[in-house]
Amino acid sequence: MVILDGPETLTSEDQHSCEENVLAFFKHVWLSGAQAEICLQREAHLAWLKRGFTSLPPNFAGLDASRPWFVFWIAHAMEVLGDFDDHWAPKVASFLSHCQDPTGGFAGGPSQLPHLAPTYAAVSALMVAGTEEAYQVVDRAAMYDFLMRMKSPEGGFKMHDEGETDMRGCYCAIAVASMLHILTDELMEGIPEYICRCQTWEGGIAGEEGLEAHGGYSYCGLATLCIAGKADALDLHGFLKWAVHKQMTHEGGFQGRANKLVDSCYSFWQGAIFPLLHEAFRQGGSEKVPLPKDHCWFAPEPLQMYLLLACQHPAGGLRDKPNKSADFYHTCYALSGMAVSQYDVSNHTPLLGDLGNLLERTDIYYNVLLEKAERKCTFFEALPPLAVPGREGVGAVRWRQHVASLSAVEVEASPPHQAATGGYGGTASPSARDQTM
Amino acid sequence: MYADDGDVPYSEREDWKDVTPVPQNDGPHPLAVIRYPPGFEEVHGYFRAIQQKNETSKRALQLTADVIQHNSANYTAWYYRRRCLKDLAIELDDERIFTDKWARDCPKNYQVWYHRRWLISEISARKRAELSPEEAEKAIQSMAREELQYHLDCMQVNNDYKNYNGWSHRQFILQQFKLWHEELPFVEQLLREDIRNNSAWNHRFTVVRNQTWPLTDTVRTREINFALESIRKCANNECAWNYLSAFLGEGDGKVSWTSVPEVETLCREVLDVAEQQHTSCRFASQALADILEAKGDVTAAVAQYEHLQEIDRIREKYWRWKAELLRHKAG
Ligand SMILES: [Zn+2]
Repeated sequence: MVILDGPETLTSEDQHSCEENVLAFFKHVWLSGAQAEICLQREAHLAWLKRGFTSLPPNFAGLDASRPWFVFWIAHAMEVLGDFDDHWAPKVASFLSHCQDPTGGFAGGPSQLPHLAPTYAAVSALMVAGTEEAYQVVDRAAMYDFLMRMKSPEGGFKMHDEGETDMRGCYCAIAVASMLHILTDELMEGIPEYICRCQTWEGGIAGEEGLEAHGGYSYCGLATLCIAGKADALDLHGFLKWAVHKQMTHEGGFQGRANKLVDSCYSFWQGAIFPLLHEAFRQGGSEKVPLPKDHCWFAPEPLQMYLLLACQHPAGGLRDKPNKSADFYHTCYALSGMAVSQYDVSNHTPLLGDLGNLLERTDIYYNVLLEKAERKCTFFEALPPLAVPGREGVGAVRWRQHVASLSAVEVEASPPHQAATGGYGGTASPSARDQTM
Repeated sequence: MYADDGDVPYSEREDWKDVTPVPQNDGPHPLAVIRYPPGFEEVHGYFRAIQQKNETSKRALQLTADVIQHNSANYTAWYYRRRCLKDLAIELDDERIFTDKWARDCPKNYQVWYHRRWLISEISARKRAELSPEEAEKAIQSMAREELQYHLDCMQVNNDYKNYNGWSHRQFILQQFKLWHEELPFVEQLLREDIRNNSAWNHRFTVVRNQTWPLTDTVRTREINFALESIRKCANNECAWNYLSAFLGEGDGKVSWTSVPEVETLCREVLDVAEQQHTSCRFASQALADILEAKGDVTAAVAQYEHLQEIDRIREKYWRWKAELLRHKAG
């Protein structure tokens, strides 16, 4: 005897109620025919982001050790929306300079201990600022010492002195080194082996060896190796097999792990895995694997449908899922994921809704605008080399060269009407859904 | 050892008279400025002063507790707290109680769990230094078991059986104190309660990996049968299928998809039941495609991928590509 859906458990109850909440938003749009609602509320998001950029209410006290993150989340969300105003750049440079530690690296706030996560956030935010003044903030020699000091004997990176080691550390350290053009072989030493040990039986990557494959850590581990051009170390087919199943049949967005709920931040963490894998296969020699020429395996329109219909908060900002409040982290990564999904591997734009929904193109390795990833090169290449001469990661450089060699972006907006009746699970009528459950 | 004069501002406390608080220097153009709640700035001002003096003392230890009270994600305060605990050689049992509440109430906080991990290592090192080897081992084993119970308590209190940091703590304890061999019944209990618990499935694999590696045929067969049984009870459960494919195919510890005929039988049974109920099961189709490919029956495997393109539209492109890949490999 075989039972398709066993008894209800905590997992299935959570899933059903989440799915119902999401589908209620979709249903509203098909029933009312209000397809104009498949529309990015740019002005509301920007106004909300600008308020948070300068001032945050007292209930943010618990995030006082993450202030460079707020600068990055907000600045990057603004640039993806095409509205990072130049007047912010000197402020970003000034404030982050006060978070830099004399021994190298950036802290969660002034006078705190340097930590790899705010270090990544600060350096990325300086790239978003995109001015020489901003680039000059970083003490690269001290940064290199800090990164080397964080290398852990087990192969990864500690987040701070005497701190925990996990997959975030690898990405933060290697992305920072690459953005600053100070990546070296000694910094990468042992990293591919460490990351491979964390690729799990499911195919994705865990935060630590033995733990569960997880969207955030999977992005971190894969992007680290892709930056350095060493993604071949992983089982890429197994990785892809795991990742494709993380897109939710009905909701359209991504879950972070098998049997968990959809969450908008995985639009980036999982969504960016596909172009990274595509490029890793391409750089590894596409004669071995015939690659799809016009897509990277996942479905962009249902993802955008989830973000636009279920995740936009009417008062501005994007949320994890319906019935949650908007926050800066989810706004940043929901928009980042949407941007990734709007540019495919052949420079086409699978866009849901009209042109007003199109976001700026991002660099999939660093998650800053593609143009900003390019812009920094002139400055950093002209600097005298450090004691151990470094460079930008070869994988990241090759990708940008490849993208530049393709023909210019062609915009193809799919009318919302067509997308909304496209026949994906995510847009099936509730009665059809009940039959397939 | 903690503040009992909690409501008196530091500026009015006799034992803090010698310290001048250091204000936060955000520079002339601060961003993401938090409008701090009452008391926040004062406590942090004193904390910055203590750090500058590099003072590790009882009052510094107590101050870190106040900072953590205001912001339990303040990794600098947790770091400084460990420095105080080490320098003062303070009895650490109270410290475990101190972290109990934080880990339970803020289960997604990295700092708390890391602090607890440090505590456990430190306590066991001290016990080994202070007690006879047998006594130390006994005390450490009982502490380790308390930690495992604590992890279960946290999951139950929060009704969340998938908290990543909690599982990380559990695996650390099992690894550190070599307790993997007792762990399978715990996993089975969790899977009886929720057969879809992805974290429990992952834990099962890690337990097996740490008990028996390289895998013996007996253990592999036991695990494959466990997955097959679970699929029978709930076929639309991705975890059980993933678990099955962890032992089949090519790679370390795996045997060929064709080597266990029961797998194909079950796939076909699931697909029949699904068809009778006018639905489908993408996991069964995918596993069947893998089996057919391993058998060298490219046409039948491609047919499965074509079927998947129909029934699993969101992954349509992936299935189409899998079919192309297979044709390409077959030449
Ligand atoms: Zn999230």
